[in-house]
Amino acid sequence: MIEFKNVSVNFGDFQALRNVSFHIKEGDFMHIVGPNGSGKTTLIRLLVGLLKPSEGTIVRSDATMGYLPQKANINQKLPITVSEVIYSGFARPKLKPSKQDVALIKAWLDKMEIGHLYDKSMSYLSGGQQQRVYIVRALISEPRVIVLDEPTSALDPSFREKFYLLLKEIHAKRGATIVNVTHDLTDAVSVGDCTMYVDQEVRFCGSYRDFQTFEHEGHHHA
Amino acid sequence: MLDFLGYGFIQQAFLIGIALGLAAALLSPFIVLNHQAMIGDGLAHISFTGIVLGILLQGEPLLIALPLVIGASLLIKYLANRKNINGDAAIGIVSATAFAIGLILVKKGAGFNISIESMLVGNIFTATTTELILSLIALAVSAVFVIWNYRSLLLVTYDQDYARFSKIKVAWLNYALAALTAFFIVTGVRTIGVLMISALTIFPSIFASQWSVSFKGTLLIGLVSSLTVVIIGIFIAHPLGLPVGATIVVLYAVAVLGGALIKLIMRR
Repeated sequence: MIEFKNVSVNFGDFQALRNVSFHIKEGDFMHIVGPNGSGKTTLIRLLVGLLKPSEGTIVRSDATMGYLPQKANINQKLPITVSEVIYSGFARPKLKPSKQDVALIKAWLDKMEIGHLYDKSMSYLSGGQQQRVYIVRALISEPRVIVLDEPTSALDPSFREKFYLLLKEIHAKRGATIVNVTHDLTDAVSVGDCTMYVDQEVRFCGSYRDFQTFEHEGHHHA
Repeated sequence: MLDFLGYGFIQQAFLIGIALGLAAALLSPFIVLNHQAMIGDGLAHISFTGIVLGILLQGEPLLIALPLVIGASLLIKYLANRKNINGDAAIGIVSATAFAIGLILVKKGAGFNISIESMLVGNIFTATTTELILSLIALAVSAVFVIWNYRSLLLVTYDQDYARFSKIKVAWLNYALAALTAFFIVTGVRTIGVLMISALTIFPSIFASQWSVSFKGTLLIGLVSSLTVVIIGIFIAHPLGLPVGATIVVLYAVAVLGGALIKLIMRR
């Protein structure tokens, strides 16, 4: 489904990623961990097509993709409502959302416990509420591949748990492929998931069970 | 009192004013809220030179000014995309150079007999049929462009990364917007004035964002406010003998200040 072959990325003299190779199969739930500045976000940007590798190749199937950037690189001064942000993420939006689209957006906002914010301005929301809006934008069109860059960084702990339950449900019911960059595996991981440890290069890629052994041998992921 | 409305040139002035006002309001949020507010001002300065050159070379200055200013707008965009020059500097470099050439041409060009002041201030009542047609074309093209690309333009203005992820051709859209802005500025520069025309692209979204929490609301309030201000502006400018462009700008400034004041009072 997605394959990295000997991928390197250089920003001038700095090498962000070195000779990275891995394979994500359809239906995988993969967690990417690694210290700050280890190249996780660079890897995600390669994965979603926002960045081209300096060397190596990336093979990607043309499955639909949802994406949650780490820090949305957004224009904070723009007057825009929650529903406008989410509707802009639809594959083929019209000038005005249909009744079904409105109902779908409202249902997702309820799931994220921010149903009352539908027509509120984004600037009125807290960081955590904004993050929930971007999560809805990434998930609402039921993409086959979901790429999340630190989705829970701005979420409070109780909601973090609910969010991962929802993600696991999407994975189990729809068989979506999920790639999740995180600092904290506690709520995120299930035993069957793949885990990848990145620090400029791939140091570990395998099952979560094997990853625990890898960690016990003295490697720390955050 | 309303007798003056019967004159053909007044009716034409209203048509041109409304077309330019609406075209500007359509482009406004995508220019101003995308940190490009000064591009209109820069392009207006370049239009000055384009029109001077056009007058010196042949009878219809817009034929020279149009390609020149559209070319300059693309050059500004290209320079702004370079890593070592920011957008403001790109506008400054291109527009100041072009304006300087224009001033030299006015001074040294043989047979140039139009006052610089009349060009800076503009005159909508002496507009030609060509200007009327171009104003209507500017409105039609802006409307089609914005409606057709609404979601792409919104995403590019709000979240460039997500726009790129969504396979929107961000660079193409930015170049197209710059070229369309250039077309609008050249068309309006002789009627509204070199120093005033860019304000028409800035005020609508500044005024509208005082009153709207949504992007669509900002666009619609911008259109309605532009229409209102242009009509009132022409209506009072003619009997009082005021320059129309300047009257419109002052009215808009009063509306924005009034809006800020009302907001302040409402908050108390």
